[in-house]
Amino acid sequence: MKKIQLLTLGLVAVLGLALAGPRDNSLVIGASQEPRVLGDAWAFVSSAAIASEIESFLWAGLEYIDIDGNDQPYLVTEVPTTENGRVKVTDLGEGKKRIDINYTLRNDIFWSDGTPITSADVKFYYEVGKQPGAPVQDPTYWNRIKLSVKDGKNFTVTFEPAYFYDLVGSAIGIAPAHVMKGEWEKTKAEIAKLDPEKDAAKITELFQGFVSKFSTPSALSKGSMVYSGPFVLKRWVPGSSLEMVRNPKFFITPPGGADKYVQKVTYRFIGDTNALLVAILGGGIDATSSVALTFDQARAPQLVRRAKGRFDIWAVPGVIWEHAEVNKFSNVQEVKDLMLDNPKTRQAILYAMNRQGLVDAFFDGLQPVADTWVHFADPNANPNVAKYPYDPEKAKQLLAELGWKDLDGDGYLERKTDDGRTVKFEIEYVTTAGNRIRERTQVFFQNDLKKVGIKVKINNAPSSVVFSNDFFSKAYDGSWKGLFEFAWLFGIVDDAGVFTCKDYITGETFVPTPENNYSGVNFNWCNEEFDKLRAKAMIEFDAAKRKEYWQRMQEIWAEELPALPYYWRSNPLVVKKGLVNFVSSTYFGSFGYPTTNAWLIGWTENGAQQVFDQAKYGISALEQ
Amino acid sequence: MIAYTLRRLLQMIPLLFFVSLAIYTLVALQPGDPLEGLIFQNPHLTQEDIAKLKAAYGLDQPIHIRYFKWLGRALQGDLGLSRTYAQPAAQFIYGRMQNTLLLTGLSFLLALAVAIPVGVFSAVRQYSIADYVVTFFSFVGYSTPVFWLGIMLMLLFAVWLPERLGRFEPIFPAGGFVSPGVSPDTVGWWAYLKDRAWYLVLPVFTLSVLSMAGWTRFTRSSMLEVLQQDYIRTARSKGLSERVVIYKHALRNALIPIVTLVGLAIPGLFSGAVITETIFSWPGMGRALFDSLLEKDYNVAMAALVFLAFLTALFNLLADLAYAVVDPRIRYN
Repeated sequence: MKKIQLLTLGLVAVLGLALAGPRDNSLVIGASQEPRVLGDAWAFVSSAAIASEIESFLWAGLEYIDIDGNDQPYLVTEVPTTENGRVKVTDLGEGKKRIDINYTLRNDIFWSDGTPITSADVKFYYEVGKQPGAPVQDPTYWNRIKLSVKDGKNFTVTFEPAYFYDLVGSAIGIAPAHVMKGEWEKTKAEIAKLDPEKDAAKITELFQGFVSKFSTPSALSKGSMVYSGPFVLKRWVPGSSLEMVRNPKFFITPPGGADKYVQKVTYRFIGDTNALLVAILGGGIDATSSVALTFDQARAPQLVRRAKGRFDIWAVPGVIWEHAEVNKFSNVQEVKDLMLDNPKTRQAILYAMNRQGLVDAFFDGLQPVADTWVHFADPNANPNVAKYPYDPEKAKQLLAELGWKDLDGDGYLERKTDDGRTVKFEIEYVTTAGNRIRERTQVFFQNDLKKVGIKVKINNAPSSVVFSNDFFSKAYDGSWKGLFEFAWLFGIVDDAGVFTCKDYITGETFVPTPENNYSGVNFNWCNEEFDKLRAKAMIEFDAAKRKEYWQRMQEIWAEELPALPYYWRSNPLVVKKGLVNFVSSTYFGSFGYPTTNAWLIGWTENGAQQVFDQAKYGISALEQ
Repeated sequence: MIAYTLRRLLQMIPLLFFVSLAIYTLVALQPGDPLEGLIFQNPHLTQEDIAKLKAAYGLDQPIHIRYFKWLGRALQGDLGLSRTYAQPAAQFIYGRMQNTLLLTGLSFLLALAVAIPVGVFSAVRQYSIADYVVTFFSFVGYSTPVFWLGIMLMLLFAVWLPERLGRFEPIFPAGGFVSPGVSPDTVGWWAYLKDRAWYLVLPVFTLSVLSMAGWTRFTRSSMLEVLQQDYIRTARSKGLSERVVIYKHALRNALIPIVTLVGLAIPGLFSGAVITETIFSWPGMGRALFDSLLEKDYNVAMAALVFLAFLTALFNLLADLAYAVVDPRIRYN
């Protein structure tokens, strides 16, 4: 009998792809990256996007960002606000404030082993992160935070100095003390024997070793961890797949009952995106992860042709901002000659670039043109800022006003400098070699700029070279002299730090020069009004007031163009017909993770109810 | 012979020292360090924060100090912790090595099993239609890019043929090395092995095509050279059967250069095949080494590269010793 069962199971497994999906109420998600660890609450080892996406299935935070970009309570009874009295703001003077955030944990929340989730779990998270020598990735967060526990369900998180983003999402993490505490005590004893100054590297290894006991594929497959999210991890075969099944202890019941929604979720990791595309075409994948196909692959004719009646293909505007930085250090001769430190020059260049033409030609218009660094889906976005539609005549006019003229009749502009030299408008354009989209963009804009008399000199190198300290940060020394195309990721808690010259709260400067040892990424754009508005916005906890500041900042930015905004990248999402609530939006779960409300994912033919409509948050690539 | 072997083994110690030093220096001299990504993502890190992070990852010291610290630990059998996988580098490499050996070992055996008989067959029938056919396919195999062949095979067996045959499941899967949920515990050993074999077919074939084609050509030319020797004519004139002439007299001599070639190819079995492993999502050494260099996971990169250097030196020695076994004229002292 056992043999027959095993044989049946074997057959089922071998034909697993055929049975996946609605037939056994399961879901197979294809991803092109694999997390190295999961549940590393302190990010001692990794904080990769694919890990965050999968962790949404397994662990719940205090709050989450919903599909519309709003805070929602998760493990807590309500989102703390000043209105409900759970947030207390104290003005400390000198532009500094403190906030006290009072949280209450729900009574019906349990770890997957049945242990109640309590304030002790929050306290444990805090204790580990605060331990001297902890290799935390954001030391300022740990320097500013304090925790005081009132009882098993109530605690207060204090930030000093506090910033507006401390009230966005969970203010603090959580980790199962009853599971991890024993190992932590041993690790702490080992750390106590070492000198934090001399043995920093050894201490880091101890922290990583501690986390690895509960987060590596083998540790998790052995059941060394407990879960608070809608699913629990069953098995993780590194390099192949990860399986999760429904967590019976999870406290939210989806409409109609949990049995109507997917019971088993499998991630298949296929590193080569061409092979992943083949696996989708072959029918073995029900949906793609947020880290899966490239934008071009999701629109591949082979996929689009087979999609009718089988798949939906969506383009969801994401938070990755493709743009070109401009070197504005006038001590660099080329910058001075081309007057790149003059906003008029930057405006002329942007007028000459046909950005809409680019996104239409390369992406069927599915990647929206950017106006500023603030995403149009951000509640603080200002739609009325200066825009620079393609207008080569306007570009020529601005350039002529700056003294540029084709003196030698070669089609490119020249001008006489104050010291009597004749300089040609030849601008360097750097980007990451091997990135085909960027290289094609360069050629596209090279052609556009040629039409207004600007010659583009392409100078690419591998990303490890262009993003190294010696190149990226040393624009002051002329390591790059014109445009540098790359992308920033601006989440819902962006604080405009990239364009800040001086932080009026801390006194720090972010223009990389020898004086500050090349720290910061503002390539010499200093606007006092912008910086002062930012300093006010950073400590403004009234959303309406903060929006006012933020909108004015966008106006200034769009007028002065410290960088050239190209477009917002869209994330492709391929989803089988009938699968509902596996949706993405710009800020879902902070960065557009389609798994944020994992308990709602299901197949309509098994009775799952559609709660979210992807059409509201993305554009169908099949209808273009 | 024993003295020669011992001397060669002793020579490997300084060799490995210099190789490890060179590798460590080259890896450490790559542009950027493991923290640059982190610093880049968080422009608000202060200089003090950055200094602390550098110290936490041991990057605050000069390369030579870091190397000797690594060497000291390596001599005690501790190759350090993988920064990105949070597990001991040696343990990580060992797991990947098993996957790689399965893939490359089977490809190696398949390539040998096909190349030597086909090469002999082609040489014995020089300028026949069969020889032209073998030559044609050898050149096709040798010049086909692995990444293209891999993707085409996946499309053929996972998409096109199933679509035309009306099958839902692929004939061979598009990447991976085991079906989700399949393990000896869940489905039993037999079903597990069948599943693993199902996943091995395409990558093994893809990986073996290049060696198969190259070794077929090499065997053919080596055999042709031997078949023109006087002792082959003598053997034939003695009235020996063609089978004995070919397999006892010709092939044994033709094998000498092939042994060298194959001996030098063996370390490659451990280093994995980056392209094939990447296309077929095979978690082997090739991908691990490639990823570790990209992510600047120094401990994994060092463990893998030094181990490969050791294997290369060892198999060079074994190839030298094999000459003496195959060719009695060669003696070492």
